[in-house]
Amino acid sequence: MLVRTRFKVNGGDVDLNIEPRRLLVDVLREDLNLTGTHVGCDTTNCGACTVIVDGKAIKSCTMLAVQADGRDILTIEGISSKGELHPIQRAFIEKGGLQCGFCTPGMIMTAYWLLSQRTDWSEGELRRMLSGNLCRCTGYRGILDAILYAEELMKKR
Amino acid sequence: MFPAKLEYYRPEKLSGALELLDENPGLIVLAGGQSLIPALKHRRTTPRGLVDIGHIRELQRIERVGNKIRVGSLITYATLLNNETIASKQPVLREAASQIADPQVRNVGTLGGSLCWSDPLYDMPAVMHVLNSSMIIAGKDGERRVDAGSFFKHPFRTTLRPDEILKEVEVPVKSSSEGYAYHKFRKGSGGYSITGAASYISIGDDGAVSNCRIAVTAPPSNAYRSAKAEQWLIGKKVSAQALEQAAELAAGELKSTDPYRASWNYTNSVLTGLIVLSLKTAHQNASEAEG
Repeated sequence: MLVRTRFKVNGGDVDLNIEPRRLLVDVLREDLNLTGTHVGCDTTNCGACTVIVDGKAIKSCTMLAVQADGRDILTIEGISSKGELHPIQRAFIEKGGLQCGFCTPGMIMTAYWLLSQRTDWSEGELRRMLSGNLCRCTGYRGILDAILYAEELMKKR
Repeated sequence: MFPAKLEYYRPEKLSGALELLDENPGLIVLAGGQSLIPALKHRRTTPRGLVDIGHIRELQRIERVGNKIRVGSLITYATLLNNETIASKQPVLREAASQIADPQVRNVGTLGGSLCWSDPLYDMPAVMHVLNSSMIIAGKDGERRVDAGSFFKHPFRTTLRPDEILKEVEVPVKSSSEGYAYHKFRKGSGGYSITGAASYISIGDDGAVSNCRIAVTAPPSNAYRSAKAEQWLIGKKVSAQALEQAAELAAGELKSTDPYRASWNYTNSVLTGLIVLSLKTAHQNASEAEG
């Protein structure tokens, strides 16, 4: 059984006939070649597959692609514009918010969602809101610094 | 990992979803999918197909009807955290939601989905018990109501029939002399409960407990209510000693624990503390509102 599914990814229209059992992350990576979204644990824990669906951060390993019908999806590839990195991406580089980089797309998408909700996050709040994103190398210090710095950069814009 | 082959239907209306379930045995309901999709991926469950109710608008409302609030089964934990009616009229739902999973899962996971999954590790069943909530269930012959007390049958089993859909959960509006609370103990941030305690206290004009309910999240068994502890506490003035005694009675009814997670003795001792804490918070919420 194939199910016609239409949604937006990073502003562009997608129209696919999809096998219902396929996960959103797999369709993003394999069919749309958007390999910036990573599969880490594949068990709804690590958050490396975080993308934004209708303005909310979700784990794309735990959503079927057919569920995305009619929705608006933003992935890591969609946050930079005209070849220029998004302030959150710049902040991760400047503050050393990564080592191996595997968790980074998920971290950045969660940060993107949080900073789109409101500003002036305290470090404690950010720690709690990052509980769905695991990093196994940095100890999170650089990541928190990067998000706090990104908030400053975005205020200046 | 990915699920086994599946059929998939995406009805726009509740009536359409009910028809699909009625006419196609073997189909099951997909809400937010935060429990079901992992189970499908591990192939712990291999249904013929899914009826995705995620697009049905009538299941996404929070409505106040007299002194009750009707929460649509597709309301997510994130909505419970941000909704005005919930925050002012029944804040324990907000409190409990804030302790569940992580932000991404809360953005998608639904109240109805988690209740129908009836997983003993989940927190909302205990909260439903102390709220004395009613499940409003839609079937092809109309609606029926089931109390939280009889909705959860066994781990992963509710009284829901395969051709029915949980439509709404009805909870009372909190009155000024009442207080509710939920506290849980978990392993790691965003982890499942080792155990948890939900409380409801109503204070009478004489300052004594006029009514109370105590429910416990008790994996690997379903959440239970402790009638023994409740009856003991009713009529008593609230004191540290009285709450402690009630907590010990309720925690003593804990049947078993999963030894890979925590021993019975350990869980019992944590639980006693949690029940005291939740009774205290509930009592505070009841007296705060008076002022």
